[in-house]
Amino acid sequence: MASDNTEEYDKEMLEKKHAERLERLALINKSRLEEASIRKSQAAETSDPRESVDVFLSAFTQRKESVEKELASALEKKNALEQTLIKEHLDSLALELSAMEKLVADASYFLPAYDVRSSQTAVLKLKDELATASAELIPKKKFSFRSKAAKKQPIPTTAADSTTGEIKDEKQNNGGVSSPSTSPVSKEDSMAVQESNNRERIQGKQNSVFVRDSDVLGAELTLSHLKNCRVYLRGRLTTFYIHGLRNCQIFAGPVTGSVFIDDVEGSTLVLASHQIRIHSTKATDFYLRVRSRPIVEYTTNVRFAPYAFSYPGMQEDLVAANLAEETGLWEKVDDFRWLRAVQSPNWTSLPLKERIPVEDGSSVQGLGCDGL
Amino acid sequence: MGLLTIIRKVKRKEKEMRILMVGLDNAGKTTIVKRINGEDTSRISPTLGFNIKTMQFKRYRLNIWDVGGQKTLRSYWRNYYEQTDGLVWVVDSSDTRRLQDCRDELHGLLKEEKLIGASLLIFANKQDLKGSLNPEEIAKVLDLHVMDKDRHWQILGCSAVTGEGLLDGFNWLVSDIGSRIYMLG
Ligand SMILES: Nc1nc2c(ncn2[C@@H]2O[C@H](COP(=O)(O)OP(=O)(O)OP(=O)(O)O)[C@@H](O)[C@H]2O)c(=O)[nH]1
Ligand SMILES: [Mg+2]
Repeated sequence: MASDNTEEYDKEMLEKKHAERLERLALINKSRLEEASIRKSQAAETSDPRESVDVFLSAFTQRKESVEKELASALEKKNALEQTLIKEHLDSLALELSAMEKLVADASYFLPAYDVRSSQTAVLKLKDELATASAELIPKKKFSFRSKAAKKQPIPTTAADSTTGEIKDEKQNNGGVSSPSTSPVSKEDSMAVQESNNRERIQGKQNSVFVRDSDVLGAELTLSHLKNCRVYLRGRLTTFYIHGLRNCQIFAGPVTGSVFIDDVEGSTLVLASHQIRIHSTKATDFYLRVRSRPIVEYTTNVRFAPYAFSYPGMQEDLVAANLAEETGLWEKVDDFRWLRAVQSPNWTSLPLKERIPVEDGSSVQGLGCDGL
Repeated sequence: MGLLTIIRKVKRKEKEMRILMVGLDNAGKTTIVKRINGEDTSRISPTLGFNIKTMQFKRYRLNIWDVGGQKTLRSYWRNYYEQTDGLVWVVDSSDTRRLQDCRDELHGLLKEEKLIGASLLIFANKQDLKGSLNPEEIAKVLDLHVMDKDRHWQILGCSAVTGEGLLDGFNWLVSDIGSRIYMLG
C-alpha cells in the first residue's frame, strides 16, 4: 500500500513535472507565434497589398499621359504664345515631373522592381523631352560674367581677416598628402582625371560677377576657388558644392538636396536648402532658409540670419523645392566640435542691425550681366 | 529536446542581421535607410551620433545602424563594429573632390579585425545626378581591385532620391549574409 502510494506519488510528481514542462514549451511556442504574427502584420503593413500597386500605377499613368499631352500642345502653340507664358507652363510641367518622381520614390519600397524601373524610365524620358522642348521654346541663358570694374560695392561682412585670405593656386599640386581641411586643392587636382564634365562649375576666378539663370529642371553646381566674386544663381539647384572662397558674395535660389561648404573665409552666403553643411569656414555670414538643422565643423566666427534673396519667380521655385515655409531652423545650428549644452563659441545669430537687406536679384539683370 | 536548444532554435528562426551603414558625411546614408523603410525623406538633418532602425526585410529582421560620417565622428565608428554581419559603405558619386578621402576611410575600415567576416555592399549613390561617376568609375577610384580575396563584396549604383538600385543592393546583402550564417535555417 505504502509502496503503491509512493509510486502513485512519484507518478503524480512526474506527470506534474511533465505538464509543467509542456506548459513552458507551450508558452515559449505561444510567444514565438505571437511575435511571428506581429512581425507578419508589420510586414503586411509595410509590404503593401496588390491594391496599392494598382492604385499607384493607375494614378501614375494618368499623370504621365497628361504631361505628355501638355508638352505636345506647348510645342504646337510654339509661336502663338508669349515667352513668359511658355516658361511658366514648362515650369509647371517640371514641377509635375518632380512630383511624379517623388511618387515613384515613395512607392519604391513596395512596388515590384519592374514597376519601379519602368515608372522611373517614364519620368526620365519625359524630363528629357521637357529639356528638349524648353531648349527649343526658350533661348537658353548660360553663365555670364563681367569684370567687377562694374559698380556694386562688396557687401560688408564680418571679414576682419578677409584680406589675408589667399586663393589657392590650382597648379600647386603636391600629391594630395596634406589634410583636406587645409588643402582641398591638391585633392581635387589628383582627381582631375575623374572629373565629370556633366557638372556646371565656376572655378578659379577673381573680381567677377556671375549670373546663372534658371533652368526648367534644377542644375548641379560647383563653385570653387573664387576671390572677390559675386555670384547670383536665379533658379533651382539639385545639389551645390562650394569650396575655397575668399571674400565672395553668393546669392542662390533653392537647393533640393544639400549645400556642402568647405574652406570659405570672409564671405556672405545667402542660401535656401534642405541641408546646410559648413566645414573649415571662418568669418563668414550665412543667410539661410533650411529644412533641417544646419551644421558646422572646424568652423569659427560665423554668423546666421534668415534668407535674404529675391528674384522674379523665386516664390514658385521655393514652393517647388519644398522650401516655402520659414522653419526657423536658420538659428538652430549644431556645432559638431562643440557637443555641449552651452552655446558654441564658434557661431552666433547676426544682430538685426547688422543684417543686409534682402538682395534683389532682378536688378543685376538691369546691370546687363545677362547673356554672353 | 532541451530548453536551451529550443530557445536557440527560436533565436535562429528570428533570423536577425546587424547591418552597419558608414561612409563620408553627405553620402546619403540616412536618406537610404528612410527610403527603404518608406519614411519621409524631406527633413533629414546631418546625423549627430547614430540612428538605429529595425525593419523586416524578406524573412529577416534587420537592425540597421546608421552612423554619422562627419570628420569629427569618424573616430567613433569603431564603437559599432562588434557583431556586424553586413557593412554598407555609401559613396556620394557626385562629390569627386572627396573621393580620395572616401577611399582612405574605406580601406582603413576594411583593415578592422572585427569587420573581417562582414559582407560588404558599396552603394555608388546619387546616380540620378548627371555629374555622378558610374559604379565602374567609383570602383576604380576606390581601388576596389585590391580587396581581400575572402571578402564577400559588391558595388552597385543607386539613388536614394529615385529609389533606384536600393532593393537590389539590400537583396544581395541579405542573401549573402543569409547564406553565410543561416545556412541551416
Ligand atoms: N540627388 C541626390 N541627392 C541625394 C541622394 N541621396 C542623398 N541625397 C542628398 O544628400 C544629402 C545628404 O544625405 P544624408 O542622408 O543626410 O547623408 P548622410 O550620409 O546620412 O550624412 P551624415 O549623416 O552627415 O553622415 C541630403 O541633402 C540628401 O537629400 C541621391 O541619391 N541623389
Ligand atoms: Mg546621416
